[in-house]
Amino acid sequence: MSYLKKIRGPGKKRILFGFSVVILLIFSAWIGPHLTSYKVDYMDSAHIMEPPSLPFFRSFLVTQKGLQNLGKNSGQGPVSSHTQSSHSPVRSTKSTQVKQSNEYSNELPEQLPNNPSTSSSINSENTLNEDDPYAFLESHSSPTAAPTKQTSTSASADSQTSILNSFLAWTKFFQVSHKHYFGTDKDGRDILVLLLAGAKTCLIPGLLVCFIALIIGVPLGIWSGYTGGKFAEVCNFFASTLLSFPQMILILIFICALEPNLYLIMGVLGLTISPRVFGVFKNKTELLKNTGFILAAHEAGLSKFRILFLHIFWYQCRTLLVIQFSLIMAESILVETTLSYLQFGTKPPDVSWGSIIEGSRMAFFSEYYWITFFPSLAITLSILGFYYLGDGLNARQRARENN
Amino acid sequence: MKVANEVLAFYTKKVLIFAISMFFAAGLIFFVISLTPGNIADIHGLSPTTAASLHLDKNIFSRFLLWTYNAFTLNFGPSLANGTQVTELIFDYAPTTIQLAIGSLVFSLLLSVPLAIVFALYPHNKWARLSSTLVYALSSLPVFVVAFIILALIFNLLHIYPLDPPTENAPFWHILFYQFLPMIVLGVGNGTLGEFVRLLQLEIENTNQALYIKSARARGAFLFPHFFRPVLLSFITILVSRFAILLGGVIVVERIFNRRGLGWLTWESTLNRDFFVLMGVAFLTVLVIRIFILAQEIIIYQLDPRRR
Repeated sequence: MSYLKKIRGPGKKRILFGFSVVILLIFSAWIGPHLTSYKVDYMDSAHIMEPPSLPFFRSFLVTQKGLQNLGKNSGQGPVSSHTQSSHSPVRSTKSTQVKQSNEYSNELPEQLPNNPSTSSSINSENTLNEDDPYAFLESHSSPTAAPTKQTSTSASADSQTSILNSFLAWTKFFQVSHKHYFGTDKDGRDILVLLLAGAKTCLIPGLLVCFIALIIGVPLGIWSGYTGGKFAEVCNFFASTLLSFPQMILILIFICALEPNLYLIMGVLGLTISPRVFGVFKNKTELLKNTGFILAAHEAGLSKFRILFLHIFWYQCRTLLVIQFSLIMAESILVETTLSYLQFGTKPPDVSWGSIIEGSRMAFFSEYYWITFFPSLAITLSILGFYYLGDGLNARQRARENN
Repeated sequence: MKVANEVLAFYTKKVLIFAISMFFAAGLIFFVISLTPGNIADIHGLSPTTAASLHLDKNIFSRFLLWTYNAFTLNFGPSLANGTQVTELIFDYAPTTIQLAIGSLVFSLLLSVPLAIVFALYPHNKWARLSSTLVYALSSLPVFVVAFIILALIFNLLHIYPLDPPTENAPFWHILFYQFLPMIVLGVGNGTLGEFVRLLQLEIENTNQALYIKSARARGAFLFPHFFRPVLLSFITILVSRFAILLGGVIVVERIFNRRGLGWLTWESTLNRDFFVLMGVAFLTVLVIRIFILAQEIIIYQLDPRRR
């Protein structure tokens, strides 16, 4: 704790938050690949399992009235016609189904997953049919696949406002040894394990982006800021040409031409970010060039390399380097998840948080909200963590310069 | 006379840089596409006569020069998927995207200017700090997360589903959200709103500490005109620099909200490997952005002599 007290000044909370998120990400990227094997009796590909700790969140995220009104307001598009024809009857017969499944729950055999290897395959194979977004809901409320473990939660959904019920659900969390603390998706895969496995795909490409962007941007920026002249003008020209490309469109050109390989995409992203890094370091060096200590070092006969590397880069710009690093990491996570959402990013054996959301995006509007709630929470936290780390360091740097 | 020469030299230099960088951009687009393993004619199964009419049998450099010449005259050839002219496709799809881009810029302008003024003038207010944290947090998220959070909230609170087109007896809110939700999402997400607020706030803070503002305040003058010009100048710069990122976000927003615009066209042509369409869209986008940058430089040169 004594070490924590040493962090003072502006941006303290932001830096602590960002640092803890970074440590969490590194930990999950380390532990994630070891958790991807499943035992057969751990998986239940026939049913979606609700996480034990969330009846409280549920009352905020899913309202019963919202589910009932799902098809009422919609128009005559292809989506809505389906909704009116088939979705509302399912909802209206919901209560009878629950009763049925309560009666027959003892007679139903325990459904074991037939083929665990296929169920643990990737998410993008299970993308929802665009014309039929509610098939996802129907398949789980049909009588043939009546959920056995779902019954208690569905029955309690009618009286979910009761405080006693939610309290009982909370106590249940401590009594029963639940195996899926974040619930499972529609193939019986644990969401927590998917998130841990996805942390690796979001961290390591981000490091590649940072490496490429910094290794192009920093030396060119410092050199052209210090010397100026023709070299700086040529660098400026190429930087402005690259900056006038929208990032996504340049990446899509590369994807269209070559195979959609994640590491290639991240290299291109590093190339598109490097002009910004170049500009930042160039401005900083131009400011430093005419300060007293650089002129003194020049007069003392130090070599140009020593002045540029030691006096300018190492003594003055290393905080800037860390700030740029964390901001680029935030941006690379953003672009990686967005590309995975567009189905161009991570390929089948790997999992990405964006592709989890893409695979079951209608779950945002259903009662199976946790499938998309936790991945979007993970994306939010990791981007905000890196963003606030950079922001807090920036605030400290500015305060130090002003004093 | 000397001043006129200077202005002329400036314009000539800027227009030359514009032309050369467009040439380089065309080269980047063309040569990255030509990195494709295999022949374009083989990939799409074109007959030799069709390939010859598209100049696919020629040398790569002569093809590049031909394509660049045609691109500057807005002739990008036919789409490889369905044979319509790329220019016609772009003119069909562009209105949706232009509407979306302008709407989102107006939205983030309307939201960011008051927020930036409040954050800059009351830096120690508790509520201002809280809301600035919220704004930065919301706008640093990817577009699809923001979109689905807002959609789920609307779905659960107002019980409407704004992805569907509204019917005749749909509530007023449904029509409103169906029209404006893509613009709101695009204006908030991908860091647009946060960047607008941060840079405007910085500019207002710097202007607020300037001596002429202090003297004007001491005289009891109306402060708005004194603030207007420096903030306008920085605002034009921000607008142009965010425009490229905005056009990147359009791709995701149009996917989510099912709008057939340029973003949808880009996504579809990437999936179909429809090279000519993608090259055309990319070239046109870069052209528009370069024209904006040129206009911004000229406007700033005219408005602020100190930056010459």
